[in-house]
Amino acid sequence: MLIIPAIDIKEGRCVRLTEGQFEDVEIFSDDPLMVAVKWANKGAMILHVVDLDGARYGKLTNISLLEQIIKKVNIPVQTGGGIRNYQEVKNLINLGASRVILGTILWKDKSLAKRLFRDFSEKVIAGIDAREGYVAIEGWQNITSVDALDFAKEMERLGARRIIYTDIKRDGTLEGPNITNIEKMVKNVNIPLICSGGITSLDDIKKLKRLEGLGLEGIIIGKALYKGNILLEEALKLVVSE
Amino acid sequence: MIVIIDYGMGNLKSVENAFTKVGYKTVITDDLNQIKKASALVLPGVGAFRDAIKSLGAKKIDKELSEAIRREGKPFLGICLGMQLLFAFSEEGGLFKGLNIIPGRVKRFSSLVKCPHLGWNKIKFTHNLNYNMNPIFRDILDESYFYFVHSYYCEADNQKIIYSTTDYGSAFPSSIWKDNLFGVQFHPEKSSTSGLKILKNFGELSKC
Repeated sequence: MLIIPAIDIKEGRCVRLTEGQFEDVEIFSDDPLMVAVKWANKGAMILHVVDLDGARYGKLTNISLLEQIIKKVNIPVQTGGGIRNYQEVKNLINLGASRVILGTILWKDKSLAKRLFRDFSEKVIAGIDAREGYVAIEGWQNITSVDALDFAKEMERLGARRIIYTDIKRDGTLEGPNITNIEKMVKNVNIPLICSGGITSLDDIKKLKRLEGLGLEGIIIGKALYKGNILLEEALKLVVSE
Repeated sequence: MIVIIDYGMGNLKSVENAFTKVGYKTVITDDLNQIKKASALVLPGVGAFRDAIKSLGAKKIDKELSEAIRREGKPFLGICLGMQLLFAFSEEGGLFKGLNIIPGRVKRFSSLVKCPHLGWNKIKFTHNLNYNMNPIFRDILDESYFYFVHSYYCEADNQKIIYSTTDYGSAFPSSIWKDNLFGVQFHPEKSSTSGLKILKNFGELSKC
């Protein structure tokens, strides 16, 4: 199973939000590039880089920083936030992003979603962010009336190869993940799943590791790494398979 | 009725849900009577070879499986570890005896590649067009992508049973087939439409 450190970028800094509230921001570093290098050196196998400004305003904002990260670390980087059209996905892949995470665009335009999954296959990930079980879009500012599990199944039908499922209510709260919901999701989709939101302790990771056989491919960890609740080295040790 | 063999290793629920999705009812059980009565058997599996073979032995499922596959000719599908268990030996965590239904052994990937082999990868059929078509791969195109998670791979003594290979450092068998016995190293239950198609094809065999 993969432990995936998250680097959220807002105005050029590495930050964490709580429950996706843009007002509730905590700055952890002025140098996201150094943070990326640090996680890579500690043994991370892949990084999760989110452009929060992009997600909020629907327009890629911190792209040069992202490019520097991709060029500097020699591990795959998955990235998302504010990608709203086909060409931008293509550009990010050409830039060296291993996987591009899409959200709003998939919700808004199903035929485009289908085309993206077809053309880029596992280079794109369906990012499903849920609040109280409903899909949130546009940087989590709008909650739709679409059930997250139904949306996941729809994405799978349209050709998605991988899903990132984020529980907004847990994100940045250090309250532990909503394992029941993650389990429900992982059992009911027929593609690999990565979860995020609320992972706070090594114990959480142990619990999630039990879902590995059901198709849970990875765990994204944010605040707990920055606050020191989880040491990346220890987390990695827990999931290393024989 | 398709029986998914429960031996405490794994991905049972996801496999069951995938079969449900393609219209087949399954029973998850370790009960020997139910296994005997099954029209087809599925052996899933995630985890360590040693623990798996021990658990199959403790539940006396090992003998029943050999019987069902060899004598009765029941359709059998081994998924991931469930395929590896069919071999004579595994080098995972020492040297352990497997079910010994297929001559060969299970080996670890070379240290030159990252372990586990995790993600989508494509399969290449080893047969030519004249070859008798594997029924569970009906309507699956060559070079289709499937989802893999494993650090060990099978090495079959008899090359003829290898139905497809996949490249990871070098080519390894991603599926095997001999009569009623089918094995896939990837996870059909996590391989989207192509994977579901394979389960559906296998389900059809259970009706025969």
